[in-house]
Amino acid sequence: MARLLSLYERIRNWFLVLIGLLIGVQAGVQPTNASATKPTPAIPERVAAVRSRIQELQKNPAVAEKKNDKGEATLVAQWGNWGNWNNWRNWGNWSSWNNWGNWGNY
Amino acid sequence: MSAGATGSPCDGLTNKGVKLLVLQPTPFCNIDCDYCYLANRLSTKKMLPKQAVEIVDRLVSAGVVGTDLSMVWHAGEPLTLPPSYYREAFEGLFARRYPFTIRHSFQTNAMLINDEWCDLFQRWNINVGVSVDGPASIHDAHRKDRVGKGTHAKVMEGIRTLQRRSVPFHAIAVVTAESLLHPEEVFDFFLNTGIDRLGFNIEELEGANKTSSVAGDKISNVRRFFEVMAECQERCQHKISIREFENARAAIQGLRGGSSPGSSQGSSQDVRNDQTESFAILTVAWDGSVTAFSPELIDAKSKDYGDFILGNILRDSIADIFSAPKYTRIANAIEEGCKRCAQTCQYFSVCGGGAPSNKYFENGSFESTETVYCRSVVQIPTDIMLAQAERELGISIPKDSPRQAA
Repeated sequence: MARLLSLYERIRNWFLVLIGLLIGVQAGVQPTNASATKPTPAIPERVAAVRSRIQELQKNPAVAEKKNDKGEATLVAQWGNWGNWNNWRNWGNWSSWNNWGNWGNY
Repeated sequence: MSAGATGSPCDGLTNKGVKLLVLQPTPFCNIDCDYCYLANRLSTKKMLPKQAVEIVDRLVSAGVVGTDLSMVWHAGEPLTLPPSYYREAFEGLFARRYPFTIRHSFQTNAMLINDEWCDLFQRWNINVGVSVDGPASIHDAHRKDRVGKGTHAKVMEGIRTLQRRSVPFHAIAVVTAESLLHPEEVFDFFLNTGIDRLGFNIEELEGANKTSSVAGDKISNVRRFFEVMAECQERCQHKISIREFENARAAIQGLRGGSSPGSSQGSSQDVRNDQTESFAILTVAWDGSVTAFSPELIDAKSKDYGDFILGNILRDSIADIFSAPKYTRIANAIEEGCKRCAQTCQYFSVCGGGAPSNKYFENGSFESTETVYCRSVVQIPTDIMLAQAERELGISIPKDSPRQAA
């Protein structure tokens, strides 16, 4: 009888461990599913922040001269102004092909 | 001629006409790249030079050309026809004195470039693009001649001729699994060759190319590839401009946007995508067959549509072509796919709805959304440029905000 009880306890313990593992796996999976169905609006917000910052810089050119923590000129200072990228992109023949080149393998 | 008029950012309401006319002077190509999307590249059929003029005349008569028109001679190797062919076409177009500027472009494998071609490029201010994938070990793995021999040495001869004659050109490199493993070598090749404008076409699953070496779990290698490109670019003080980064920067800034009257979604800074607009891009095959949206559709077959030919621009009226049921069906499907992108994709404001041909060939439907093209050409460069912008413009991002999408 004692042997039978011991065997029963072993089986029950393994069963409980198995249930525990299954619950754990399911709990681990749930947040991933949740995040996949609810996209984080990070990119639009970040793009809006960059556009807003550029507008701010365009209104206040003095800020464009700023240097970063290491004393290096920021991109704005290096390249004039982010807002001028449009002109920068148009040098040479760049812009006319820029619109069409990225299709197909050739 | 718009596919719809719902006021969404996908309905092409702001389209100001044909911006890009891709002409296939001949389907023939003198080489046999194993990733090429064109099926009929052994055909030596050709469009007559006067037919190129007739095509533009028809577009002008229909009132569908805007203020500028880019004409790209492509979809086969354009230089397999002689310079005299183009001289006749260019002179014919020039004689018309159209009220808009025409800019001619060639995308060539450069193997046939000589001084006579350089004379033509300079005389007509042609925009030249050379297809070269990087150093010989990478280039020759896929870009082979008809007997299976690598073409790199001959391409380099063409590039040196262009440089000796001071003809400006850009390069487009198809990125395959081999290139992904050697990003620095690829960058150094272009830097040492003196090429300062560079575009990367990630190998796509399209048309006759039924498999891609860059798919599935290799997308993480694509991210690493572009990250290394950005590092190399900074290291050499931006001696090379990279098209994917340029496009991403311009889109982030809102410089590729357009006003969208009546638009209920998106802002005027959201990017306009020529491939999802009603007739911003037209591609005409040697015989006058025409397709719209993605140029790769010109030569493709489909179980849903048969093919993507919308009519014959040399025979049918433009109005008939764009009111045909096939055009409407395709345009509506593309518009629906674009709307789904607008509803589900974080990158919509910097993309405008993806590439219809990639959606179709990869996902089996124009109405689908994300593709390998989206992840590799739009999302990854946007992530890298956005992070760079935030760093350089001193914008702090909360630590719990994801730096990039999956």
